[in-house]
Amino acid sequence: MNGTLIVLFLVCLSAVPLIADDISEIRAMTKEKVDAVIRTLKDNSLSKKEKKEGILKTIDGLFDFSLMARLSLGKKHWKALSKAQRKEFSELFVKRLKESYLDKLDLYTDEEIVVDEAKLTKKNRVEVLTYLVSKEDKKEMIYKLYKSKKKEWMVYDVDILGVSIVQTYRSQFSGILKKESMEQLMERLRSTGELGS
Amino acid sequence: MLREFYDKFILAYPKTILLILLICIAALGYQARYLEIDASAETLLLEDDKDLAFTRKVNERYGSSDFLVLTYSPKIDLLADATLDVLRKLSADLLELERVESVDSILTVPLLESPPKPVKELLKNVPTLESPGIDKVLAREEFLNSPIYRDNLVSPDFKTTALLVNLHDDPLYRDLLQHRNSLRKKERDGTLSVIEQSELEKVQIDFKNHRDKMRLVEHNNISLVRNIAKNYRGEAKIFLGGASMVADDLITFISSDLQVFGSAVFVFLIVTLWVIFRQLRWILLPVITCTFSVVATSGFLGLFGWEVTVISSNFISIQLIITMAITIHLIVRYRELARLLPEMDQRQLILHSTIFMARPCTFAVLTTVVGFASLVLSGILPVMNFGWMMSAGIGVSLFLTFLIFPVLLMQMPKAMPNTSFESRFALTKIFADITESHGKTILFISVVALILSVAGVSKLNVENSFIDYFKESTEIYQGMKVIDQQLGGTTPLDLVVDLELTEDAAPQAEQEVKAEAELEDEEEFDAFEEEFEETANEAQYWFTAEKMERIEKIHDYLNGLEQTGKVLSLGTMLKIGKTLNSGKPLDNFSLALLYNELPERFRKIILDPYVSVENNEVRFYMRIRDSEPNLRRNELLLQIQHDLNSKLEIPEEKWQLANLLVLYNNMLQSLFKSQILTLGVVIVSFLFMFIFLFRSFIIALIAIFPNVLSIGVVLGFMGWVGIPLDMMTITIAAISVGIAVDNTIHYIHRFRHEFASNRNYLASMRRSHESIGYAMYYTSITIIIGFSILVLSKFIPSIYFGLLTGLAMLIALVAALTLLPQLLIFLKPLGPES
Repeated sequence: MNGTLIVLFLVCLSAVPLIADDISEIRAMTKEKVDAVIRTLKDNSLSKKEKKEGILKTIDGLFDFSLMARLSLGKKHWKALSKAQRKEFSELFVKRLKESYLDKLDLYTDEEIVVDEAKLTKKNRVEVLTYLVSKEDKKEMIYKLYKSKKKEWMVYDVDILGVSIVQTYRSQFSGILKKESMEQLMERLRSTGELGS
Repeated sequence: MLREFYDKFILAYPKTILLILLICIAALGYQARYLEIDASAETLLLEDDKDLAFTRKVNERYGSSDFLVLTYSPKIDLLADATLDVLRKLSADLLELERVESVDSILTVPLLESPPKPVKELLKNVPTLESPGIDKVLAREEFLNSPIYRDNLVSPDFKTTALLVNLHDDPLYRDLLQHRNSLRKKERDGTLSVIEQSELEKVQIDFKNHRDKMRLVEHNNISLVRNIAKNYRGEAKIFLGGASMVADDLITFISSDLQVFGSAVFVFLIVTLWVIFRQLRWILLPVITCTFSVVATSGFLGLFGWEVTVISSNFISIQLIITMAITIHLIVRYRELARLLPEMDQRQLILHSTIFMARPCTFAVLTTVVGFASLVLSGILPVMNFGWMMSAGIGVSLFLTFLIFPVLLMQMPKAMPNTSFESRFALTKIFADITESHGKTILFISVVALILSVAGVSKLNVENSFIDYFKESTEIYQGMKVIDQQLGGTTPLDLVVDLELTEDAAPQAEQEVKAEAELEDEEEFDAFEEEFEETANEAQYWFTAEKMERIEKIHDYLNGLEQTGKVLSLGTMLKIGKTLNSGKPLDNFSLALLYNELPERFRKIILDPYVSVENNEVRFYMRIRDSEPNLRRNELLLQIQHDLNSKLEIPEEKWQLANLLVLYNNMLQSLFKSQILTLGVVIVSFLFMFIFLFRSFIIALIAIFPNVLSIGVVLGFMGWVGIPLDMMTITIAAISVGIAVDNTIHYIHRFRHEFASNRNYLASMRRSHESIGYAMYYTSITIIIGFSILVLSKFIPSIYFGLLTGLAMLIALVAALTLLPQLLIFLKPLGPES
């Protein structure tokens, strides 16, 4: 009996530093990418277009866009799609998501981004807390990461001031799909501006 | 039996009875102090209206605050420094009042595009007209084009602006009202327990006490606001508006109507009595009976807590008139007996005249009571209360007149009548001549009048503008007119839409062949699904672009309607958001962010009144231009209903209309039904009463016909001239028939009496005209002029009521003295002559 307890204790002990290591690594990686984005944004030698391209390149490896597409549509609707439809949906969605993300960057002026702690929330899930600090206030942003099959940590959602990007799309898509068909939703995604987001 | 009762009891102990009467009246007079006036909006609605319950629910859910509106039209430019200076001072003065919580005006509202700034900068410090560096040219543009300010805060011609004087919330009033209403609902449903019953009684008393207290506070506050506004009248045209001001002014009107009509009718009655009878006792006696009756009735009303509303505001004058009519009948009979049988002593004269008149007077009063009581069927609360009130009041009048008249007269010596008026003024004789020589013409004219009336009645309408209820000289009228025409309309209308979509579009067939990797994926997918399901119902995710699209579509539709003034909803905010977002609609994410980040004080103004996330519901608040002459309320509501279903494809169970326009329209639409119901019941009741009274179907028909004709002519006249039926004018028919049949009853009663003695129709007619004809003539003239005094009211329906009831009585009198005898002579219902 005592033996079992000791074994369990040892397992736990050994597990903690392992994950702690992992987490600090994730935090460092997130910080690095975020800093890179800010650097690009602040670099006045670059044109707007160059800035956008640079940023996309930076975040491409960090964000799991195709997972975000699936999560945003939700399991029920995703499963109902054919392979071709899934492919098209992912492409259209990712394009839209990137555009929307880049649009929002225009709002950035001179805030500093502070990458705070990272914590393990579930098995294979880590949240990195960051703050957008300006002269007047401090705004909270949470990067949510998971460990992908390729054993890489990737972002699957971002929570800004308590609003999740994926959840926002989920509520929107499920609303649209309550009265329209998948094809109509695709059509909305194809034509810019039809979705509002 | 009655004779014995009077002989052995009343006339035997007149002093004792007088003393008892005086004590009772004094006690009731003490209770009359508790007589109260209720002018709340609720008194103008239908009692069991489902839409009323829904409107209350909407107000509860979305909140409604109490405010006053000051419209301000300066002589110079609205944005001139001098104007803004005055507005600043005016606002500061208003803010000093204890009841005032805040004052919103062009000075305090946020300006978002003057000049345009990035959203982030704007949110850091939202500018107003008072902020440094504001561009006034741009501000003017913004006021004129903003979906929220135009037609709301400023008029489209930019000459008038509104100051919104927000009053402190009265949570106790709201709590008591809610508590009372929920218990009342239980009472109606029959689920009220014994404990709740006593709770209801208590809450009703608490509510009334608190309401009365607040009414005083409100009244003082409004007077103070008026005084402040007066100081600034030199610089601008200023009017006061707002629901609490309308209610307060209505109470003032009712009190003044009660006093003015009461005293005017009183003075008029004294003058009339002098003109007709020329003897002091015939003035004193009616004045005392009238006073006692009114005091006693007011006492009963106070005792039972029945409140006087705008409809019943003339109860004192009507009761005076009717009491007077009963007394005049007694006096005329007494004088007639005194002249014909000079050998009778005072006691015999009193006994004979009282007993002779008891039967016709009781019947006449009964018919009048039936007329008023029929109003109880109208379903309109103040009209129903008016019916109860008057029925009780007239009963009191009959009882008291038949006691006071004999016991008081017993205190006076016998006096021979002064008949100078009767001998000089022989109108009844003229009517008798006409009836005798132009009988056929009378019948012909009556038939033509009836046909024309039927045509007129078919033109009657119920379209009433609330503003037109008031004289142009009143501030209610002027203030509402400015708000109605310049600042977006006065009558509120709500559309509440449930945005829940239940029907999912059928998902396509699941892919049957799954790759290995996909199966592995599925577990992962499930874990993510769970995570997102947990937070899916959080309020900020409610604001999806798809919902907003639907909201904007409905908003634009409502805004596009010709009759709507201002429309406010989440759609208005979306439009502002779009402007701020460089013309692009706010996306889901921004909406969610906005919802989370919006400070509480802004959320209260821009979200809470228009959206209820937990109920998945939105509210569109509209104001309708009440003074628009082409406004057809019912048609407008039907059109909106039709378009929501077909054009906007919202299923019927997903939306509902509410608020004052709906309730007001329900009331208006019920007027036709109420009119037909009350009048129908009155006529059928009279027919049965007449059959019982005269024991002859033919006589009953003859008696009904002149009265139906008189009211037919009045309703037909209203149809031809275009006077709409309203809460007051629908009561004319039942009331005037109720009063007018008295003439018929008295006349036929007398005619039969005369016919029995010589069995000659023409001679009976002559003698009836010369006896009861006078009484009919006096009472009718008294009633007609008495009702005409209502023209002094500031409330237009009261004026129509007075004039049209007078007209009905005049026609009824002429018909009773021409058509009625002609029908009796023509149809010979009393058998052959001898």
